[in-house]
Amino acid sequence: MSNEVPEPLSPKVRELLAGEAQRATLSDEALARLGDRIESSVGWAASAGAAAGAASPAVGALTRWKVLGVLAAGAVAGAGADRLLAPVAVPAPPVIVVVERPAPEAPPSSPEPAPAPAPVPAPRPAPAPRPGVAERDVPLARERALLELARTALSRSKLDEANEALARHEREFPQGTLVEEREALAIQALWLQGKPALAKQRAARFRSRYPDSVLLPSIEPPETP
Amino acid sequence: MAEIRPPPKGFQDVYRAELQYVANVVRRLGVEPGWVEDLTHDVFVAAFRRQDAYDPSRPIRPWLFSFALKRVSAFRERAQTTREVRGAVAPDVADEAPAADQRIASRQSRDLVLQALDALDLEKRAVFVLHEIDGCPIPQAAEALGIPLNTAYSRLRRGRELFEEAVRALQKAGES
Repeated sequence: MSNEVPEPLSPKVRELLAGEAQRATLSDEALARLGDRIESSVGWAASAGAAAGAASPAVGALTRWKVLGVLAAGAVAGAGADRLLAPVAVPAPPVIVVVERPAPEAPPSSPEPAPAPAPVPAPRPAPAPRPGVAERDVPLARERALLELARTALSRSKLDEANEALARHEREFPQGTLVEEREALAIQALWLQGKPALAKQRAARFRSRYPDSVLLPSIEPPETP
Repeated sequence: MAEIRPPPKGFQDVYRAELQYVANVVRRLGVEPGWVEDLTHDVFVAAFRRQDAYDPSRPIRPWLFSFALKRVSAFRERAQTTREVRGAVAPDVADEAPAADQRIASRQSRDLVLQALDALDLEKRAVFVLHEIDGCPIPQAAEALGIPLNTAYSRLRRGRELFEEAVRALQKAGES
């Protein structure tokens, strides 16, 4: 091998690739929905609300627990809280297919965890569902709605409401798509209820079952201010 | 080739601006449309968790690309062991940029590019996409991908050959 510059591409192919470089894969609507999902996953959704009334924590130190702590202390109100409490209108995910959950093994060459199921997105006005897709989305939308209720209740320290939503999800979707998310929320609820022994036990099971989960940080004990 | 963006001051400040870029990368690395959104989400969550490792003096896109490549690689490996296989999922075209806003020729060109990219294995595809479409210089691409410079050039050379051949073959098949 050498690092000599390879033969250039033909003009036709260069033109083809130049056109590809200008294309967009996701619509603006999908991008907005995706942004909300990411913010929800890493805790920025709440931090955006916090920014309206208080200084945002440093990004590097921000964890979901810190966000929950801020919310529980009532430091966040207004737009951020409204956003969390907005009617749960779950957007259609890209595709709903029946997929066997792969064995939770990280690829040997990759230090990164393997793709995890989609976490619960932040509430957002749903686009009009497309025929066909809508039917498949209904159960998942219901799952997400229940977990969003639980998440919102947790963020407000309404533990009874959170537990009720989680219990309903478990009853209705014992093997649902979002079981991983439900488990993470249930562990958070146990911590907040002051049941560290149960929380630790359930967290250990969670780590064993979902070793690559992106939700692992969320099941750690809440940090004391 | 597109110009590499200057580095952001903070990851949170710019991540939304790079959503489309990462989605494009995920798609160009061979992920079907219906999975692009989920994989892009995972890329950013993973990048967020490793943001302390990000060097703000460096462009953010090659850094994000490295996360995308790892996630796509893992996804493809896992897909081979499940019933979800590439091509088995109905493309969620409604979540792509609306076709109505694109000329048919443009759509066909994209299909041609993506199909031709399928002729490259993931290693060559990554170098090819990062350099030829994203405009990342090869030394920077090699660094982002964690491979020797010579290897990067070698993959680029072979990637170009395979891509050119695939485009010719696809165009010929389309004419017949």
